[in-house]
Amino acid sequence: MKDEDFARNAFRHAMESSFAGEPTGLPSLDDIAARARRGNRTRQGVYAASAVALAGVVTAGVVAGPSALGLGSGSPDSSTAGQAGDTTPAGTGTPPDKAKVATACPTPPQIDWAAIISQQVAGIRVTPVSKGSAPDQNNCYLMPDGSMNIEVLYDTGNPTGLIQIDVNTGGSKNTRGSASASKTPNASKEASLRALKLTLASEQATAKSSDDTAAQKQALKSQLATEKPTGAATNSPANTAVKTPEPTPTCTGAKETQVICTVDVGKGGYVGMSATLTRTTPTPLFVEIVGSTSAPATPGQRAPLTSAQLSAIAQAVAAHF
Amino acid sequence: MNAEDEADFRSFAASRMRDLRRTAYLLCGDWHHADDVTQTVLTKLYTNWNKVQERGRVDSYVRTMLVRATFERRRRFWWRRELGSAQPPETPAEVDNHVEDRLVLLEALGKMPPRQRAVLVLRFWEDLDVAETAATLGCSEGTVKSQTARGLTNLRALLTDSHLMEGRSS
Repeated sequence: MKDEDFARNAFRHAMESSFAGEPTGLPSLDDIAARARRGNRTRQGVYAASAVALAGVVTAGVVAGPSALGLGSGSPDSSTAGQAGDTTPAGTGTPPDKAKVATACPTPPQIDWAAIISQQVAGIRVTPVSKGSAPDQNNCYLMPDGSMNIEVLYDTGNPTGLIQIDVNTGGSKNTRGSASASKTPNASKEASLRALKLTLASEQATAKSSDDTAAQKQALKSQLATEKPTGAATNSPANTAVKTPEPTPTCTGAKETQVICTVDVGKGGYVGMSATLTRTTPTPLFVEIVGSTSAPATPGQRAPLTSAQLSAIAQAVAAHF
Repeated sequence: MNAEDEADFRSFAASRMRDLRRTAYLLCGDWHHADDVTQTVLTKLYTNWNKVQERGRVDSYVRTMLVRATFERRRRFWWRRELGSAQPPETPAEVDNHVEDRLVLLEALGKMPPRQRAVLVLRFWEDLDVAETAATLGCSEGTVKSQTARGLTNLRALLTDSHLMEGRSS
């Protein structure tokens, strides 16, 4: 007998009996259906609870994820490097902090700024002034648009004064150059404010305690407080009432190649002069030289920097780029 | 599940429940466990009735669930298994020799590995062919053939001196 037939007969022979021991009743179909429905409800409840929890986690992740990953968020004031220029609406918000949008130059140009100034202004002795926020000793930054920005500050000494050199070169667009070269009143106002700040910083650095100096500092502070709001609300009647005519810059050169503009930004008790050089070829370049002293020179003191001297310094600086 | 589907399910379950329980009994060797396995399988079937109906393979689907449920029950740790009563309920007196035959068969099946036992039950009790058995167990046809050969050899050896063998000889 084949094994298959043997097994088949064995099963049939054993199971065709009266099935003693087999439970007489069968499981209740009602109980089975009720149990299945109860299981379905439990399962669906668990699914629903899990879905709600998952949705909460996903929502929290979408909202907080980019910030947690350092990618910034929709609010302009929380933007990070490389995004501040995109998230800050032009002309509506405060300019982003330079430290957040610019990076230190990996190889800053080695330029002897003091020698440049000394060569153009006879008898001047300058000492570098450290800027606390500078990423390196040459104050060189790489801007988000690819340009390089250099800011150096020197103390001109007798009389108390400062000279600041700003250089912006390269990049796809030279926004600073175009803004200052437009000869609008805002450009000269910007230079004037910068000169005011320079003078005030110079005063604080030297820490002279004479009554005249204290009075001058107070006058400078009040002027700064008056000047600052005009940039944001020039149309207000109060500002229009105290507004003084802006100095007109004097420019030389061809607009297509290189333009040098000088403007007297002195006010009140200080003397200030600004010179800007805007070059389009071969490399886009913008140089701004601002020199200021706290007071007109007295007999025995060196005369304040002239527009010609600042222009010469600007051209000497441009020769390095 | 709508009323029509529920009626279909009840019709199928009522007609197949007894056979399913007997198959489960042959697979596990205990009526109470067979009862539990059958209820578990039918509960799952109720939940998935619509999907199974669309496939038109209710029998094979249920059979697969039955085998897997039996295997899963055997894999449980001993403390998760349901314990039998210390004093089993009184059973009626045996009235024929088939009961002894069944016990001998179950004893022989109990000495086989679970998968080999399942192959024999499916092939020679459920009368499935090799392909259907392989599909039910989730293995290859070659495995079914080899398990069948070994199972038959073992079964014949175990039942050689039994009443079943004597009955076949006579």
